[in-house]
Amino acid sequence: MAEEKRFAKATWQIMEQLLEVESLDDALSGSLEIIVNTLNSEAGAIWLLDPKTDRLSPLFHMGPADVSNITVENGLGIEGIVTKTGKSVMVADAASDARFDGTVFDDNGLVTKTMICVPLNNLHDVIGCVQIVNKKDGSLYDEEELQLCERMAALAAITIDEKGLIVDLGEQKEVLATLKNVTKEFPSGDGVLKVLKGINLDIYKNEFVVVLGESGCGKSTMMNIVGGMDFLTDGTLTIEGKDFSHPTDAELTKYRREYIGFIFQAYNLMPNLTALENVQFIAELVKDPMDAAEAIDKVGLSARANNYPGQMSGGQQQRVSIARAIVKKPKLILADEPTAALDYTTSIEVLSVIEDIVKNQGATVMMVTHNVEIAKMADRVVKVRGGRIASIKKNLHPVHAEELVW
Amino acid sequence: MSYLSIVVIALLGVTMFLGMNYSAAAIGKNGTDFYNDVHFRDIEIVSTRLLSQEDMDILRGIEGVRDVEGVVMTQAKAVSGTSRKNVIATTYSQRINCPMIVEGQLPHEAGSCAVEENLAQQMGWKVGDRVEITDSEGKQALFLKDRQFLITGLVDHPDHVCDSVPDTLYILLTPEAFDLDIFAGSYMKAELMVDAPREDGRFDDGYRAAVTEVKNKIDAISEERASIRQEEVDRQIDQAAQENLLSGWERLEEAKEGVRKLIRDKLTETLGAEYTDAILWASKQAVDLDDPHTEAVTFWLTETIQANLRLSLRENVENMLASLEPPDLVLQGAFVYLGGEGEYAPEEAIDLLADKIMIGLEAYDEKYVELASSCVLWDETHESYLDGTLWEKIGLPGVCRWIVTDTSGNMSFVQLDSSRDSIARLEMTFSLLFVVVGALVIYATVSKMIDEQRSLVGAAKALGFYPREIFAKFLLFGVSGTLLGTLLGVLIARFGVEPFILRGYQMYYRANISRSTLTVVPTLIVVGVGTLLSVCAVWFACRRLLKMPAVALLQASTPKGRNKASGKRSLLPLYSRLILRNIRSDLRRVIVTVVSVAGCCALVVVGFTLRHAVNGAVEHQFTDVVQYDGVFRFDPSVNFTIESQIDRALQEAGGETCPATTMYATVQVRNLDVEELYCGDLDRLCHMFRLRDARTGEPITPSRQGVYIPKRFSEYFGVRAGDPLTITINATETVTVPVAGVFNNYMNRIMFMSRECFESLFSREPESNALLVQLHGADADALNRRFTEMNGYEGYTASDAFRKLFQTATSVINAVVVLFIFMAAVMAGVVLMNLTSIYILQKKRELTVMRVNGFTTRETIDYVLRETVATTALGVLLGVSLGALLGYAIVRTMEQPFIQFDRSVSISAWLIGVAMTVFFTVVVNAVALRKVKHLKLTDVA
Repeated sequence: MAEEKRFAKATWQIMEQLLEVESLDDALSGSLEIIVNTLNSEAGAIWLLDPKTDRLSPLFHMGPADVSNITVENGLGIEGIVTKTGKSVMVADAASDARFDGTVFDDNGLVTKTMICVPLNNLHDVIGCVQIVNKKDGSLYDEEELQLCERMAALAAITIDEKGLIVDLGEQKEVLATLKNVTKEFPSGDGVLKVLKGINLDIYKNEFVVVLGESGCGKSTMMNIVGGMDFLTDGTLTIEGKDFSHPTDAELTKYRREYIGFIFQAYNLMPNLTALENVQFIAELVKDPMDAAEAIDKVGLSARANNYPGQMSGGQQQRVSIARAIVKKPKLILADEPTAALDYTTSIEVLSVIEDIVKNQGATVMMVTHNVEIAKMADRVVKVRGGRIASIKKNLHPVHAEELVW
Repeated sequence: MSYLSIVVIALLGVTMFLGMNYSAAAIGKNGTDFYNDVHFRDIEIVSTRLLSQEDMDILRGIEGVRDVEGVVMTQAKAVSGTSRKNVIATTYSQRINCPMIVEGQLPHEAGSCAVEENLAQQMGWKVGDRVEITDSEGKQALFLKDRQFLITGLVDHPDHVCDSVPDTLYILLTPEAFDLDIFAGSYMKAELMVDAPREDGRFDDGYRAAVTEVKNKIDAISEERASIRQEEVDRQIDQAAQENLLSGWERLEEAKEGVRKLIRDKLTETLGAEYTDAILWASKQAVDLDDPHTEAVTFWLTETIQANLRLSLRENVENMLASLEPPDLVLQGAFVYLGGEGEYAPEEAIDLLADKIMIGLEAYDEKYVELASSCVLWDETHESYLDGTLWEKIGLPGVCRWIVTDTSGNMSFVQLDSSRDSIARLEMTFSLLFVVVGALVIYATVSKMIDEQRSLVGAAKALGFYPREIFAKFLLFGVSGTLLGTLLGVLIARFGVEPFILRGYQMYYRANISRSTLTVVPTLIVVGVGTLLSVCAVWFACRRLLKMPAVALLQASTPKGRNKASGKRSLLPLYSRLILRNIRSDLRRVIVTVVSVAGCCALVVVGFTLRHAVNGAVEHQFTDVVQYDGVFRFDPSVNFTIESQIDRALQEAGGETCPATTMYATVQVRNLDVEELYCGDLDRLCHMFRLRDARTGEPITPSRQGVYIPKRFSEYFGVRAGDPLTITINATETVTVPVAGVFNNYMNRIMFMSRECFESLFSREPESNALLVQLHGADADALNRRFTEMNGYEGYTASDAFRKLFQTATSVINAVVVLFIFMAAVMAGVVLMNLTSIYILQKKRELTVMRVNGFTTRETIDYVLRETVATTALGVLLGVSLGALLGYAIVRTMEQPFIQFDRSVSISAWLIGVAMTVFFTVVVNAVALRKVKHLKLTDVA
């Protein structure tokens, strides 16, 4: 009885989500979250079929495994078969089912024990599938739970049909950095505090990733490890295919110098150098830097190039900070709450610059923020919770900075 | 770290300041206690023609004079085996200037004495020994009744508290040991006690002023009293001399009568009465004292025959026989009677007769010689009587003069005062520098510490705390640190530094000066000033923050007041521009850093400059000035051939010698000063003692006239070449002589005079009593052992021994300087560590951002080092300059009347100062900059 009530409530929430939320991909990802939470599942994904390539890509996925860059050919694998046939599949107990050949999650660090995969059927076609994997309490999925998933899939498909969804999942991207089962522990009193409990994440070249999460969830720690400012405790960090899990201090310095640009919340400019000199100061570190004046120009501060930080507004200082980050032509720019100390207008100015350097200069930007609105302009949104990746969502239609409102 | 720095710096400053203060106060207090215990005289009056009872009464009647006591004394030689030593035999005072008994007791009868312990050690005497006291010729000393005395006790005399001050030591006798009839109730010296606040301190201005007031009154009457005394003495001398001469003549005539009788009896015994009765024997002669032809050495044997006591008895007998009337008859008879053979020959007869007479008279030879020498003395005295120079004859100058001195006329007192003063000057110079540097650093520390907590201040203000509450918090921090350091400093000063210094000085003084003391008022002042300084430091450091609004404090601090950069291409590299701007934007911190570094560097430079000055003085003295290897001393009055014997032996051994007459001369300058006067052939003396002109540094061309004085003496007493100088030798011979020149000398009281000058001043040739020698390989010890057998030999003193003595004498000040250097080094270490830590703390975010952006640890450290190097270099430059100037000033301040330190520029001190500061900078930076390596990069994210 209680379970029926819970399921009914979940169905109602999904309907609300699909009908009321403006952004369809937000609605879909929200619905998956409701399903995963209601069914107490470890992971889940919404796969959409790209008609151009006839391949399935994850629009949104939850759980510890990062399958963002996985594509599945229509008709192959459980996800492909469900989409191709338009029929649901439930593997109640993977261990005792000889037919089961694993899911994409199995290839990314999560062993499937039980699974449900239901098709997204609209009026004309099957446009993808919804997949949930493993129950956290170790129990197996049952028919009722399958039905709930099918209801959710049906509602989603109807909504997609009504609102229209142009699926363009883009090309497969080249991986810049990979974190695999990364953990980080800090000594705390007599024991240790495990801040990161197994992070799996790929960062792709020329993408704008926004990391969201509550305070203390581990997002900054994760960024520090990616930025070479801290060492991981366990797991692996790969940079352009090279293992960077346990570097020396010199290797880390070299990595920060050549690969990384930083944008801080507090700007952290040298107070006794002008805007231009602050950029020059860092440009001198690398062999082939961008011209400092050009970097200043790119952030629109040529007129204030000879001003000291103390003579500039917060937004201007942050733009100098961005110029300082891009002048090295880094492969990855890490931005930690770059707009937290800024007002709305100034924040938009700063975000526009970041948007520009991603789109026009091919930089990769990983930004940590509390501001959910900023996530709208990201290519991917990574949510971190309790030291793990809670979800990764691909923005099918990232908005421009100027369109953000908060 | 900051709190600890404040504690340590306050501790160091207070330790050095109060350590010096306590030491100076302890020396002053212990000296005062000693002098008060022995009732050390406030004023001493020596008269060249004695002080009469009337003089004494008048002195007692002077307002402010509490007590007067007279002393009689005489210059003498103390004899022990072959060694002889100049001493002063003196009555001991009962109420004033009382000797302190070390062993035994004071003498109570004429035949006993007490000797100064120092003298007893030199002569190898102990209580119960007998000592012989003679004049310079080995005869009974003038004014003394006896020459043998039993030692009943060993004493320390208030006049000789300091062993390192050269002076003639005392043998104390009862008044009964002196022939008081000669003095007729007069005294040679009067000791006075005056109404002065001596309990407050013998070295205090109040005491000096009270004594000077009385001394001025005595000076005012001294000329008149001396004049009266002069007339009185002239009258007395005529009367006494006449009486003495007449009485002496009478006694001599009695003795001569005895001689006549002896000869007559022997002649009668030999030839029979018929012959002797025929001779007209002379009788006693009357005397006319005013007749210049009157002589005691000639007397009439017969009415026609004059005997001469300068001839032997036999010669006089032979002369008499040859002159007898009628000679032939007598001599012919005598010739036959005495068994002469052959033809009569008068000469042979006289010889035979003289032989016969002399048989039996030989026993009287000694008495005859005594008579002869008494007659010679009578004649000399008579001659002096006729010339009016009798006072000189008995060793007193012709003109009566009073020499009035206060305590500053006693060289031991001056030396003790000088020791106390040296420490006090160190306190007010070097120690004060410590305090100033310490105060600066404490201000810098508090200032930066508060600046670092600006956001905390902002938060506190935002939470509603009153500025006074916030101020109280910082005040508690600053004041408690300073107070803790101050209190620890007081303890270390009292129980560490003070005993260390006092123990060092104690070895030079016979008085106990090592009792520690704690001066309450300076301690309270230091604690008060320390607290006040810390309150001011905290107030100045946080007053700006307290006035700022909370929101401004909560925002990150940004440099203010800077104009927009011109944008023109600068000639300086970006790094250099950044360093310069860092300095400009945080000028206060940089100035405090530079001043602190400069202060520490200056302390080290001053310390090593002082060390250089002290050690250099000894080195220069015995390398550049003293060229002889040692001095052989002897007494020519005992053995007039000893000089030639020693000289010959030394030259045979390969040595080169230079004879000299050395004596202590009292010089009347501002106060009395005692110098060792060297007389001799100045050309030869210059070969042994390099006299270089103090102004030009060129060798002095010796002048025959005048006295050469050391540069320090010239500076201290303001005496220049050409000025007249009044000097007294042998206590009574006072002359005025022009200063012929000023020479470079570093230590010892010494003056030079040519033989010709001495002769013209004292109307006699100076007798050489020393041979300065360059050994050239000769074995001084072997020669010394050989000479010891000679009568009149006094001993050998090697220059090395003097060098060691001076090194010992300067060792205390050297030890204090080493203590200062150590403390300065500790302070430099703490200061630099503190400043560097503050700097790194201040720059932590900037450095972290650099590291995050890819600067290597080395590059980041280099960035820090650039400013550190710049500020250290600036501080070192300033420190060396300041240290050099202060060092010179302190060296000059520390110089004594008889010690000139090496004032030359000490490049080594500068280099050591630089090296130590750089060393500390390197070490401190090596430690502090480790933080850069361990910067937590995630702090900035």
